[in-house]
Amino acid sequence: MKRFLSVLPVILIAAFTAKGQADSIETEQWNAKPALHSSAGEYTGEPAVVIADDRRFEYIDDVKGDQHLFYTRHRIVHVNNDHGIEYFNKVYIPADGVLSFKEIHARTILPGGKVVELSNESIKDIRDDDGHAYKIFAMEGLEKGSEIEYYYTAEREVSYFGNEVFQYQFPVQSSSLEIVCPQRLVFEVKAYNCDPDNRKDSLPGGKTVFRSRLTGLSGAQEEKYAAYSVNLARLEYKLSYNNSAGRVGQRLFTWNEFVKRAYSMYTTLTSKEAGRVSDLVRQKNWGTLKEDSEKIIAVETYVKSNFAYRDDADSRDLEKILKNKIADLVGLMRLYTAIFNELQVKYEFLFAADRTSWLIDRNFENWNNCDYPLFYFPASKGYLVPTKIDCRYPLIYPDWAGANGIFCKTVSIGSMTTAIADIRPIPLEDYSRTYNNLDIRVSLNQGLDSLLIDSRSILGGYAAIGYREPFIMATDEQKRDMFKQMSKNQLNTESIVKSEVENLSFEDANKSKPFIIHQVVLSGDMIERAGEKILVKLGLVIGPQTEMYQEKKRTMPITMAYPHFEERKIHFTIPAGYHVKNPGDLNIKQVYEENGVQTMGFVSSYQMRDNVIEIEIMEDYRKVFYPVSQYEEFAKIINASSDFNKVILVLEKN
Amino acid sequence: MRQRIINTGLLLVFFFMGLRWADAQSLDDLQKQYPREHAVMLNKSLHYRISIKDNAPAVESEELDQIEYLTPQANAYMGRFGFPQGDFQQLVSYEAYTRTPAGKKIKVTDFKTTSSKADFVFYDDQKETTFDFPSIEQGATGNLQVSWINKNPYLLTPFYFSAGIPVVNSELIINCPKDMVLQYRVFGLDTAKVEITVERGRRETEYRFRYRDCPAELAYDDAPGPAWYATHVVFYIASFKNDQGETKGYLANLDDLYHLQYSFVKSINQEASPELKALVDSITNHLSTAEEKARAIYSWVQHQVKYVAFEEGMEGFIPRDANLVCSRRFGDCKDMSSTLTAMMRLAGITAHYTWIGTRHLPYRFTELPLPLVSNHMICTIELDGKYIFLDGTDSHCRFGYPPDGIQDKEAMVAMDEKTYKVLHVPVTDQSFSGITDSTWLEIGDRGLQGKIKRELTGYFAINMRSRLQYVSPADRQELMRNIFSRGTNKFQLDSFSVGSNSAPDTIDLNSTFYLPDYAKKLGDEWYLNLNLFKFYVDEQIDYPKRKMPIEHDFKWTKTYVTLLKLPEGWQTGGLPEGKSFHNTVWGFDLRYEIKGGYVVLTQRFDNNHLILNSDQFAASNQVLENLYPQYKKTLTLVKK
Repeated sequence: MKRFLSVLPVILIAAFTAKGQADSIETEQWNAKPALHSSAGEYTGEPAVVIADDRRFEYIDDVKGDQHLFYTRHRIVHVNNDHGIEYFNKVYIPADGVLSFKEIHARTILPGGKVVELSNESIKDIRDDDGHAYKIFAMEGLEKGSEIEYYYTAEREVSYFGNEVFQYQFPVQSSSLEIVCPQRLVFEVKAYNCDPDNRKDSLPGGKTVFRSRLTGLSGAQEEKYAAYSVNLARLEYKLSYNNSAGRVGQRLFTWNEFVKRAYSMYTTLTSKEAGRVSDLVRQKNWGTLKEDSEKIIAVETYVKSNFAYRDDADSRDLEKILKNKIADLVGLMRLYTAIFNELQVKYEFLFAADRTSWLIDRNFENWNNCDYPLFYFPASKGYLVPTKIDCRYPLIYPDWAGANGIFCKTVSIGSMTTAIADIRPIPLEDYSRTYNNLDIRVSLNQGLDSLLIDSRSILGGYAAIGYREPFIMATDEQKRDMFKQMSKNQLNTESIVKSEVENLSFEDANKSKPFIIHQVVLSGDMIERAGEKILVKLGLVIGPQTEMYQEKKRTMPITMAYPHFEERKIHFTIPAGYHVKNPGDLNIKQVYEENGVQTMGFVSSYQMRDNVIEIEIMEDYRKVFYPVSQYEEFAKIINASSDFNKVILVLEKN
Repeated sequence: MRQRIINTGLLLVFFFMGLRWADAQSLDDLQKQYPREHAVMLNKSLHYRISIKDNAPAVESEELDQIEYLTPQANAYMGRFGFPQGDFQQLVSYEAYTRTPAGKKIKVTDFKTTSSKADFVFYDDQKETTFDFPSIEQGATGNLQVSWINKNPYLLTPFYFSAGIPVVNSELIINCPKDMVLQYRVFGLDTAKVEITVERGRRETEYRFRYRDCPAELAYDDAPGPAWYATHVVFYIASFKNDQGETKGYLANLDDLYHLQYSFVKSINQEASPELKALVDSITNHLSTAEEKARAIYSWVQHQVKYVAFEEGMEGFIPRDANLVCSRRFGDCKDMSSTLTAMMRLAGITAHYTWIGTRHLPYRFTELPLPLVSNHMICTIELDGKYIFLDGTDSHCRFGYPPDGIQDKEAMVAMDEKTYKVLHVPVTDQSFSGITDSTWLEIGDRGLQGKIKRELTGYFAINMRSRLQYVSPADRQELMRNIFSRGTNKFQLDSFSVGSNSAPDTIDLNSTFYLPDYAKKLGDEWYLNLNLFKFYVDEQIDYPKRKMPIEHDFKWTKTYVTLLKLPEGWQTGGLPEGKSFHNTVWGFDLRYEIKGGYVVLTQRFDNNHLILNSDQFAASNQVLENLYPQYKKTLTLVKK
């Protein structure tokens, strides 16, 4: 949502009167006689240590009273080995949203004290495949034990929100965020996963500076079942007050203001746009459908299969969208909105954040965190995600739920309709609604040297998202390869007798029908011989399971993609003339309870019915977050399913 | 060094052209012919026009592409398209539009230009312009016309016929003056499918290369670079007649190529700076022999000059001065070639700039006198009458051995302004790169436990040193666990150590471990499969469907020995039978024996190929068919 917010009513922020002259910005400097930092000595085992990472946002009024934003970053990195050198020797300075660079300076300080300064000609401009622009340069003269220092100041498009992450894979000794602004403005800073030292000071020239300083951040590494970004130390800031005459104490950029603006942007149509949408709705006969849910499904099916979503397309005019069949995010929202209004389908706009990156905070209105707009239908409690082809009504994309969202409640005052914000968690579906089940029949072939496996993978709820799209888009050849790959991954064989999928269409997803992959295969690898005995590696039929047998010390809480269960039913037919020596190995139980209620578990058991062993496995993770304190128990359950992989049945002649 | 010469043809998977040749096929016909394809390229055409201007060849080119969309879903996925531009390929004009099934023309107005570069290049001035065809629906066509001036006729891009989707009509046309000698060669797996016609007119000759019904590209991870298999035309100007009517050689032979390449290096390294001289002195002054000095200089460049590539205009071809590279401490392959050559010469060692193509390319200087044969530069030195190839970009390479990526390639070695040599870079044999991995097992109270010694030589050691160098302290334990892991993923690493030997091409790794639940005890019997590794399971080659060759990084041998200590009072319930199988492609030996209280399984594999072609796939699979049953043999231990 960053883009539509970049155009702001300047009146809210501007000084009342034009000034005689523009304020001058704080200037950054580096030490004229730099020396290596001895404090880096504590970190010699690390490839690199960041000595300082200081960032300043300065808001300045110009003579006309318009506001400008200057961003300065100053960074010093000590590199200890080749890994550190090669990680930091190429510098990328983001240039998206930059109006102009005022200065860029970079130098290398060598262990002998020599200083190599970068010349301006060495700085190049690039724009990567995703359209992001950078200034890039390579640090010169680097050797082990050197320090890299650079700072730059850029004028940026004005924005009154920020989200600055200060932690990364290497340790950081000292970092700071400064917001410098005219005295009438009040910024608020909120810390996540860290505890900064905060100060407010006055600077000459009638400026205020809000300073937050962090020291001693450790390096953060990726962990299994963890959301990395959202757990890093970060500081967010926003402008909260403009204490110029007449506005003292009036909170700026509230959630209600955000919702009001979004509502207006999505719902305001020109008469031509409205006419075109009416024509479309009439032509498609959607109005004749009875239920709202039928209408929603029909509209979603039509839009997702006929319009291309391109975030960089700058296409939000409905006339243009209907002609070109290409829309950007705002354009897609406006298209669905206009259609739903025409059909009188009741909806609310909902704004979500990706909970693995950052969160929407009720008490700290950082508009930049509301990246994902979507539709919520209160009557059915269903969602429509415009930007994801494979995520269909009524499901929300699971990374966007399980955390706060902003629901836009429509209110009418007289003839005017607008919306107010209702901030509350977007619920994830109960674990019982999402499943990744298996139904497998296993028997030995005549020669007793291969297993004939008939396997049905049954995926429902969030677990099915991401499967239909590739199958629908694949050519026959690609489909064959996909089946082959799946058979190889799950059952260790390419010898496929039959493959098919069921409930392939997106409408099946709308109707909550499971996506089913049915394969019949022959596997030689799951049988071994020990003299007269046959060893059947039955535990492998559930496919390879994640293991956490030997992990480094856990630091982050556990985050699942979504709550779910995995029910596997395996029927194994014992060949005539044999019996199983060790069926008891199939019994595995590992569950965890909180206040007497199971929150996660793995239980497998079996029953003998004539010559068939019927195995039932129930593995479930009923929550999406588990605290670090439950890590050991969590790992035991993850490992229980991996232990099942190791079950080998020994068949002995009667 | 500059990769764009090779890349451009593939940069855009799609390339091509106009209505004039395709016999109009209805949507119905196309859907029948290409079931389940969302789109096909009706035409993909590139047309070069070569003339003589100011007494030199001048080249313009025009690309015409036409795509037809066959399914309603095509819009969501297939609408994005693009074309390249850069210093050597200056954009003149472009137009793109959609023709709707009703015949309406809707123009593209929104074009975006981004930098286009290979991952390993830091900066490249080559650009790519992309756009979306609007109003795509079933039966609509996307049309693109682009024209360029090809500023450097020495660097004409090869034409690749295929695209990511099937191409109905794929065609390269070249018009040139009648007395220009144009040479061409067709490479790839489907050369027989390319129809070639040459029409000699009064003033011009027209060459046409056409491939009808060209299938979509398939991708395999273990394939060599696309130039090895994708069907393409390489063409070049051998000679032309100038305004005076004289025949001028252009790229007629290797001498012409050398003359061109030498022009890139002739002005560099005119004078060594005092700092460079002092540096070479400090590296070599305590050493007496030329070889010691050469080794020391090579090691310094390998470790102190980091690979950072800037490609801008002719900078993609002209190496930078050694003085600059040494003070900046970074450079690309050309810069390292320049630096090695200059430093060696300062130390009194005969050294030469050398151009080479990596194994990414199939071309040889001796069959194509073109700059595109080489995409890399190294330094060749002479020691005791022998040539030694030194590649500065590989920081773990052993002196005297080339990196695996340039084995078996031709090197063009600059002897002086007029003379050069084309030398063959040798292939290291199987015995150079080896893995000898021994596991001692005993049955203990935590299940199986024991120790491992893993000895690596050659490229295996070089690669391992590189992995170890770039792992963070926090990830080291995990990396080691992955390296030593065997049996099942329950493998638990107790301790590990890396041998103190510092030679680049050998390394010893040691560990202790335990492996719960691998050996199974039932009643009075233990069961365990001594094949802790089941290599190549599920690695049958997709034959006969696959035609694309398979690339191996180098030749090797691998030996895995598993030694199980027989517990006191126990014996084997019969020793599994081993097997050896070898054919012309490769093979294995599996041997069981009882030795000094241990049951020993030795698994040995070897590979003696850098490239496997499709006529070798059946034999390769045959080895696997013989191997897999061996993995099913489980050892039983019974009480004495």
